[in-house]
Amino acid sequence: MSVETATDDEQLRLLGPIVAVTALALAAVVLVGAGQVKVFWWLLMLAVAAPAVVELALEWRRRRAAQPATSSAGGRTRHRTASAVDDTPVAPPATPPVPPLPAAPAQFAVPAEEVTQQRPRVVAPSVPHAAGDPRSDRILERSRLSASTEITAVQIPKSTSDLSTCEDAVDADDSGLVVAVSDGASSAFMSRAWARILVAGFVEQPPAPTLDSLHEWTVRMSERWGQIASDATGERGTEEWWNQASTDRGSSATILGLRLVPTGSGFRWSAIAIGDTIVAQVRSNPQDGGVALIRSFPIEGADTFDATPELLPTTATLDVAELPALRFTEGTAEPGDSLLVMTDALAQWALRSEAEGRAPWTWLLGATGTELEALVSAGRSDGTLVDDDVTLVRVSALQPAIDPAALR
Amino acid sequence: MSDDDTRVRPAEYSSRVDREHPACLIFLLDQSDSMRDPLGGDAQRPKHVALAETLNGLLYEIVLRSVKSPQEGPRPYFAVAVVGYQTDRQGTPIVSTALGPPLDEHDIVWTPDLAKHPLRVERKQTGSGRGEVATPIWIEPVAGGGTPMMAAFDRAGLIAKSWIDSYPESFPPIVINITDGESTDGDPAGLAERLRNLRSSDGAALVFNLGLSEVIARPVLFPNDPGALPNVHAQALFHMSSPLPGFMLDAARSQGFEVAPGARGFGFNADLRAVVTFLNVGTAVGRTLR
Repeated sequence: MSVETATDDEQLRLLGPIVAVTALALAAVVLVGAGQVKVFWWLLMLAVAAPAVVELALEWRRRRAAQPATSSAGGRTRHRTASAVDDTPVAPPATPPVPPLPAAPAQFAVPAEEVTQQRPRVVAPSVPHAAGDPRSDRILERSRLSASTEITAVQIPKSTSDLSTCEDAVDADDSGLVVAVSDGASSAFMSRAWARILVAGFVEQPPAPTLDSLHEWTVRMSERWGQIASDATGERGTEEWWNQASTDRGSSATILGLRLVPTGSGFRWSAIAIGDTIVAQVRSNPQDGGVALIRSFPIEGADTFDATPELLPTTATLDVAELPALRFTEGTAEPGDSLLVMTDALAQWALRSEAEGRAPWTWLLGATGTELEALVSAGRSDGTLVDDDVTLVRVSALQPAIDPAALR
Repeated sequence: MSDDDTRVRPAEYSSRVDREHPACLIFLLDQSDSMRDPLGGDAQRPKHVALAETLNGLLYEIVLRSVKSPQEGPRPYFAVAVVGYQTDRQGTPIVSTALGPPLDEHDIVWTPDLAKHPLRVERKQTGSGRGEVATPIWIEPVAGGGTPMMAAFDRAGLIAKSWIDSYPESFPPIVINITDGESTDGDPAGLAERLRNLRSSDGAALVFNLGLSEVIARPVLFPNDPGALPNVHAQALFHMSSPLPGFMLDAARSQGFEVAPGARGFGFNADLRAVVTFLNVGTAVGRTLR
């Protein structure tokens, strides 16, 4: 399972043929010279079979290694994946052990019909549940480890849909320092595509936190959406009046864009927000093991969520004045702090839990996708959590291996 | 994660509109002879013409609220009934759908069918001149005879009851009655009350009433105090009307109205602008819910 094992396999595969050819050449000279032609033929057949034997041995070894090996305490097991794009290390969820990944982790890719030249980037690596798992369309977990941050994302679609129609979108850049989450409005046309364009566009080039910059950025994003919408509509646009009307009307979504700057020990962060997707900064207390809320942005209380959040529309392109209220904030995170980005249903649940003295943060930081799905299902049943797409993204600064303070 | 005593019960009128929980809108349309008179003093636009235009615009909105992707077409998020009421020359009530064929085969139609079967689609230049915009027409102006409001509420009750039997967990039916006069077949208050007593698990059916004005008058929208109304007829319609749920109060405020708690889904002396506002607020379900 380790990278080293893979390298050993390659060497063994090369060794087989080299030994076989050399031995055969020697045998030919010695045995044919001595008149033992029959023995030479036996040796030849053995040599031909040898690579297959080596392959069998390797397969046996792989199977042994694939037994659920408990990862060493505190150690981060590195999974080698089958996918070409998935060759960066990922942290596996605690339970259950993750089987080998399918070749194309396309869960987050934009469906083919929504793709044009500006295909939004697919975040790799992803750790979807194995095919055949009944929950594979109910939970999506992804994680990314970069030099300075660890980002984990969990998505659970609303009970009446599945991941393929989930209107929440997440993206992060390779450095792990730019993260964006968007919640496409359920009542809007092609809002899943708009949410994906917004997060991919933010990660590609975040707008400055000014209305002018946001406006210029929105115009570019809107062009991408318009292209995708008109491609998807095709000839239906003229035959079915509602398609052209819907495309003209446009779409809308929330956006929460996060940027981090490592400071050696912790990091500085800034966020822009339109709508009710929030980021909560939480702090672990090493003394009692508790996790406390430092602040949440742009919504601070569970009562502030309503049915009419601010949304960024595709149509806000003519004038800066058309843009909804843009919120901006900055903060400093200490070592051990985490940022939790949540779409409205989970955000409201978390802030209400906090207000009622049942701080949810330790649980949210540690929950696996399966655990979060169980919580969301229960909350939907008893009315404590709105039945909507749920996204939870956890961003933690990694502790430097050597404390910079110790070097001073 | 939560104890029983801290559990938050789902609020009334909070059901999201989706395919499992579609919403039902029932419009009762006064088609009496007096609907030929001008609306709000505008002689160019008789009430029945203005109302048909406004309802066509509203149905357009409702269809677009149901469109999520071009591949899929409109989803059945809404079922709509448009019930016209008038009388024939003998004074016999005529209560029937105002939608044309083939939509007239049923009392109530789903948004995908509504989308596919307007009477016609007119093409109009957009204001910006950037192109044409499709304007589907479902309802033609009709006016003649009396105002059999009791018969109309009776029909609405039948539709709403069968809806709730089919979708007991959906947002409850919304009945919007638009009239310019008094009922000519008796007091519909009892039938309206019976309607308001129909309940889904998400709340009681909502009954809203809007009175149109012939002359230029100051419209009254969403009042909470019947004492301030000008006459007994207006007060009667007020009492027939449901209080607005919270999100509709918000919708009214977002349109610039100072609505007080207890505001009813009732309007009086309505001109065209008031009609549009009233219908926007009264059908806000599924537009802003996400």
